[in-house]
Formats: sequence, structure tokens, C-alpha cells
Amino acid sequence: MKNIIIFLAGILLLSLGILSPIQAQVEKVEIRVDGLACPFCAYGLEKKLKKIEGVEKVQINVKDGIATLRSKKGKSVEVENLESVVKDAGFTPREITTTVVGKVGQSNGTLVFSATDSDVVFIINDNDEFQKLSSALKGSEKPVRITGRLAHDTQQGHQTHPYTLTIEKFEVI
Amino acid sequence: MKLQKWNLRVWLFAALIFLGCSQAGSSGAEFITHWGGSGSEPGKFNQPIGVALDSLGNVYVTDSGNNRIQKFTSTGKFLAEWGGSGSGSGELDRPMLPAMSPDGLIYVPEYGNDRVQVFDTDGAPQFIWGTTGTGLAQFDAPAGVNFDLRGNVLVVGFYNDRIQIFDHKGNFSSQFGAEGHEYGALYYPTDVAVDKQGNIIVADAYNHRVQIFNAEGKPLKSWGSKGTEPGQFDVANALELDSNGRIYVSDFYNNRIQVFDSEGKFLFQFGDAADEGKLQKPTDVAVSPDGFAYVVDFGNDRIVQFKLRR
Repeated sequence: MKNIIIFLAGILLLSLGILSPIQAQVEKVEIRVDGLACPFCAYGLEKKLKKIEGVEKVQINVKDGIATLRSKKGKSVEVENLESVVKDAGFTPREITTTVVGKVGQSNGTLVFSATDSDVVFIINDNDEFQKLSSALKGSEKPVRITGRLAHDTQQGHQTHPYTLTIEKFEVI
Repeated sequence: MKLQKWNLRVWLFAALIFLGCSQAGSSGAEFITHWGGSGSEPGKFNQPIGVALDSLGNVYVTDSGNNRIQKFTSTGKFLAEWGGSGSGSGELDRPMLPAMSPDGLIYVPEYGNDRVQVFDTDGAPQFIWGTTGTGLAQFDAPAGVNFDLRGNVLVVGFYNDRIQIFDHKGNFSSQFGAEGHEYGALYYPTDVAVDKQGNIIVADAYNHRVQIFNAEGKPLKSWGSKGTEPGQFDVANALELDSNGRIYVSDFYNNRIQVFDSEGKFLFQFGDAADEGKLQKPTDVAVSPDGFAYVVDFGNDRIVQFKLRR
């Protein structure tokens, strides 16, 4: 419920222009995938992921079953099609961890992280790191690097921007 | 006296059981040597995938993580390397299961570049064909190549679930295959071979089976299912024929090579013994006329040589 409120507040504030434009860049994405031990599959996934907009490099860790995507300089990895690309390559995606750089919009203690160059708004889940980030920013618009768990959450109210981000660590730049 | 006869019968019975087990077991090949190890230096490997032999017995390995091909003598002495990451002539992007043509050229399917590139045995690039797509003469992750009795080139499409046939210069001729699990369909196939009758044998990797088609693509025979028993597979990802028509199948997750007769009857397996030749996720096998098998031991970044006993 809290997420929904955050989301709706973010959309309202964005639409009213109250939140300042938020520049965010998805620098890195790590996807845990089952069945990556087979190189025929791993290289197939690598090939498909390389075609995602903004991706400069894909590394497949066969032993750990993790695909890592890094963005082109000044570009953002397009996360909207990540899951479908993984599925098309014959895999089931598991955890997705992303590192995003941007400015965080803040209003009444509510944080919404938006990737303007890919039209993706990340709804930030409330946790200890979220609270620490709020305290660290103190309302400023300093750029932040956030690493967190990305989830595709299509519950009511999230259809338009269905990505939630659970902060695991952050760095105020 | 009766007791002695009974003992004799027990011993004879035990001996027969032993012989039976050794016929159907893992004693069909003896470990000889291995070479490689992880790295990018000459002679090392980073995710080797495929192997092919020339008429002199030299061994060519697609070192896919390093995007190169390495050439060795039959005993593993490093001779040459070529390639490098890229999409230009002579460059490679994930070279997979290669094959040596009847006229002594090495054909290399490239997963990343969706093409087949041909080299001579010194590594000089000869020609290339293929583009990305699902149309005729297009590829989406070509995994394996081989030749029919006329020297035509068969290319396995991993994501397109089909076999395409070209002349030796890469001009499209025909195709067959469709995605599925039923008899005759393919599901992420990876390799192909042609027997002396001209039938096409396909490693139907993620159907965990081997399928035989006639030259027109009509299914003739199929065997295998997912499992660990002899004749079962857990990703049947490469195959090879020897001069006797026996079919060697790389059984990836079962860490072994299984050998069948031309009708699909299980003969023996190897690579699973607890010795220096124990395989970890094999991806390809090549067999020389003098009875040696060279296995790409993907999980250990090495080539393992076995001597076939039969």
C-alpha cells in the first residue's frame, strides 16, 4: 500500500512539475538465471542481451549463473525488455540487481527514482537503506549511485511504471 | 564335491556378470593424456567448445571465451592460434562446433556473428557467409556444422531449430526442422553428422535425444530421453561418427561420452571414471582413424585424449 501511495504521489508531483527532472542512468544490471552452465545457452543469452538498447558489454558468469550488462558511456541500459529477452533466450530470470546513477527527487520524505532517458520510473521500496539515503540527502539533489534489487511488480497502481527498486547500498556522489 | 561345483558355478556367474558390465560400462576407452588449463596464453583455454581433426591428426579447438582457434599436434603440442574478438574477416565471436571439410578447410560456426567462417589449416580466412535472421541462409546462433556425402555443408541453428544445407561455398540449398518435442521436431539442436548412407544425425540437445533423418529431412529414428541411465541424456550437445559408423554423443550434464551403434543401441561410455580423464561438462568429441577420442572438457578448460579399446 505504501508503495502505491509513493507511486501515485510521484506521478502526481511529476505531472505537476513539482519534482525536478531526475536524471538517472542504469549503469549496470546483473541477472541471475537458471541453467546458464551450458555454453550453448549462455552464449545465446549473451547474444540476445547485447542487443538491448544502451548495452555496451555483456559478461556471462557460467559458474554462478549471472549475466552482467554494462551501459555504453553516457547511455542507460534499457530495463523494460530485460525479462522478455531472457525468456526469449530460453531462460527463466531470477533476481535482477541494478546500479543506477541519478538525482533523487524528494517530496515529503518520498523518493522516486526516474530514468528519464528510458522513461522508466523506479518505485523505491521502504527499508533501512531507504531511510539512510533520506537522511543523507537531507532534501538536497546531489547525484546518487544506488545498487538495489529490481522487481517487476504489476500490482494495481504499478501498471504504468511497474519497476520497484529495493536499495541494497547507495553512494552520494 | 557338490560344494566345489556350486562354488565353480558362482564364480562363473560372477565372471559373466563382470564381463557383461564391462561390455556395457565405462571401460570402452582408456585415458591417455590431457592438455590446456584456464587462461588466455597459447595452449590455455577459456571455455573451449568444439574440436576437429585434420587428415594429419592435428587437433583444432574453438577456444570460445578467448574468441580464437588453437591448433595442436595429436599429443597436445601447441602449433598455432588465430582469431580475436570481432566481426571482420579472420575475427571471431563465439566460435562453436567446427568441422573439417573433405578438401581440408575448417568451417567454423560463429554464434555471435551469425555466420560460418572458413579457414585453411594455417588459419588464413577463406570466405564467410550468413547474416542474422530467420530467413533462408540466415542464422540465429549457428552451433554446429558438418558435411554430407557430396560435400554440402549442414549448419545447425540453435534458436531457429533447423538444419540448413548449403553447397561447400555457402550457397543455400534446402532446410528442415521445426521447434517442438514430438518425433521429428527439434528443440535447441546443437550438432549434426552424416552417416555412410547419407542420413543426417542430429544432436537434439534440449530434447535430450539423438534423431536420424534421411537426406530430405524425413525422420527415421530417435532415441534418448532426459536421465542418467545408459541411452539417456542430460543435454545431448554434440556428436561424432567413427569409421565403423558408431555414434559418439557428448552428454553434457552427465559428464560422459556415450557410444552407440548405427541403430542407436548403447555400446559403452567413457569419461566418467574416477581418474585423470574424468570429464566435467563435455561439449564436443572428435575421433581419429587410429582410434583416439579427443574430448572438449569444457568445465575443466582442457582437452582430454582417450584411446578407444574397441
